[in-house]
Amino acid sequence: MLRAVAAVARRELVIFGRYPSWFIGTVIWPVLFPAAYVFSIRALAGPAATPQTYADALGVSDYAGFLIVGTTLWMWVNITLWSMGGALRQEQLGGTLEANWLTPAPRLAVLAGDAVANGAIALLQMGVSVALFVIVYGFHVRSPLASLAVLLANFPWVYGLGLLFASLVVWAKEVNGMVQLVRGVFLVLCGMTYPVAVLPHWLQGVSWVLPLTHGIEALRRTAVAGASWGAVGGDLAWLLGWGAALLLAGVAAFRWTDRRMRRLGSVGTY
Amino acid sequence: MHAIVAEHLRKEYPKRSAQPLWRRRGPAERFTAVEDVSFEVRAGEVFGLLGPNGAGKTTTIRMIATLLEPSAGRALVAGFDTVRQPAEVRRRLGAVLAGERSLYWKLTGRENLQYFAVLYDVPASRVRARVEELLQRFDLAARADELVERYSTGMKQRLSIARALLADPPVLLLDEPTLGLDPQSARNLREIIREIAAEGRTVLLTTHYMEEADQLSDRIAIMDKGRIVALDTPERLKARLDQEAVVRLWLTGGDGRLRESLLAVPGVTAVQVDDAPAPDDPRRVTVQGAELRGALPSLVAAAAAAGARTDRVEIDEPTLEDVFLHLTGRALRD
Ligand SMILES: Nc1ncnc2c1ncn2[C@@H]1O[C@H](COP(=O)(O)OP(=O)(O)O)[C@@H](O)[C@H]1O
Ligand SMILES: [Mg+2]
Repeated sequence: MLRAVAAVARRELVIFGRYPSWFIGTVIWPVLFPAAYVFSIRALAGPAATPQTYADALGVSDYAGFLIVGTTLWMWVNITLWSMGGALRQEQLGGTLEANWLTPAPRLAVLAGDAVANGAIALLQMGVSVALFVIVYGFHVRSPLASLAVLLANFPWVYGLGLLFASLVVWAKEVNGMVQLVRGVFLVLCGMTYPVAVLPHWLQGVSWVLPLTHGIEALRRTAVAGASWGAVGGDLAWLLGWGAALLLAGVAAFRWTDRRMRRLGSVGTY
Repeated sequence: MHAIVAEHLRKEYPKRSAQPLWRRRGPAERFTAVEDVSFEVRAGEVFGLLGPNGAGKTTTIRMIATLLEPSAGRALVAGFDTVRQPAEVRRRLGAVLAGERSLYWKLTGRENLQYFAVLYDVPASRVRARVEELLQRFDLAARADELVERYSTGMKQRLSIARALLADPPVLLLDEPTLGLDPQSARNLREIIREIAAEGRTVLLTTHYMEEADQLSDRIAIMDKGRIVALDTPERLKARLDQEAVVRLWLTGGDGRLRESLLAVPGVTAVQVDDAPAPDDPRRVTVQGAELRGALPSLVAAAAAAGARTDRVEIDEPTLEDVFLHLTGRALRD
């Protein structure tokens, strides 16, 4: 089982390494993306802005750090949804998925390996991004260990959601629209580039249900404001709760899709 | 014990629909792709499923490979049920189904085999040697470290077969193994299949090439419209047609009445008009019936009545294609 997980993860990493364009795209984008917001905020704050201006508006004076946390987490979720869903669909269309299914290896091991590889790639990319943020934006991670703990607490829900989408994309084209919807909702409601407090009151209620809101909030508190992980315990519990729920939902969706494919034939309803 | 058993297999698909999910009303219409298919493959036998496109061969082989669930009936591999014990079945099965696309093109040939060896549970200490052995055997060793995307179709197909043999399975499934190969590669591949069978493995293969089924198979099930219409050794299948039962005419010209005109000759039971290789070339027409030697002058006259000149006439040995025409009244190739 573990051997199969490791083999799949290794396969994905090797293939990833052979597409240099992905690598460039995923290193350059995370740095460029927050830049647009950094300049917007500077423009809005005006030439007279002091660190206190930003602290009053955002809760922290390091506005670049504030934005970097939001955009990095949002992009991670976004890329994971696309790449996990897209990868499984691609493998299905190409026939490699079936080749895996013909082996006695448990299918969940194959999917887990895929998620492990995606997670490892994401960690690598975030590591590179942080290094670049230090150079480009003078970003400084205040509580590195607590920040890492917060980041890791996001993994279960992000990959649970990835698995959920991957399972649905295999048979329904409409799911692409759902990915768009989910990332749109996250974009607006999770405080990627502004504090959730600026949203209308009723929307804030929805925001604080979503895991990404807590992920961004907790990472800002630790990485940007320097809080210890004890100060974000509530957020961590919320993230792990979502993680358990989404992983279960993802596995259930996969089991369901798998049965459906065996009944309808692999190409499904495209 | 039989290596493969199919018992009254049936597969229904929902009719393909252009509508998105939420616009579909009522239960989906169903279409039966495989109906009441039963056969038993003995250990060590090469068993062929022969039939035209759409006959249900792929559907049948995919049910045996555990990829599709039968709507009714069941399939056993080495005594294990494909639905209830799929993992046991997969341990005993090698399969080449989707051909070249089922390999990772961004991995090398060696990496592909090493990867699948783990999934097939080849012990870690044996992986390297097993992969090397298969690369050598299938003449891939010299280019084992090149990306598969640079391989020819024939090489990819050999790599797929090597992958299917990684776990040394007693049973091998091959779906249209030579489809898309040039004649030389197809000949090579048939030789490989013969060698695999000679090792004592059971091989179930599908094909719509009658020569391939004839050359490779110990027994053949002829499929049409989801059903098995005949099952026997190639020799006995062909012996079902009498002596003097098959006449081939090479005709130039002729109009739309040709087939009707020939069918009207007393004793004729079936006619198959092939396409001409080039517009003005003679085309081959197969006529089946009883004791046709005496009917040759009438056949030539019937052809002439439809505007065709007879260039050559032959009383021929029946082929499997003739058997198919005899059983279904239609040509195997369309
Ligand atoms: N997943 C599917 N959904 C609906 N119809 C299918 C599906 N797969 C195959 N069919 C139909 O079933 C019939 C048998 O197909 P197949 O088993 O592929 O035949 P063969 O391999 O002999 O060409 C064909 O008419 C085909 O269009
Ligand atoms: Mg087929």
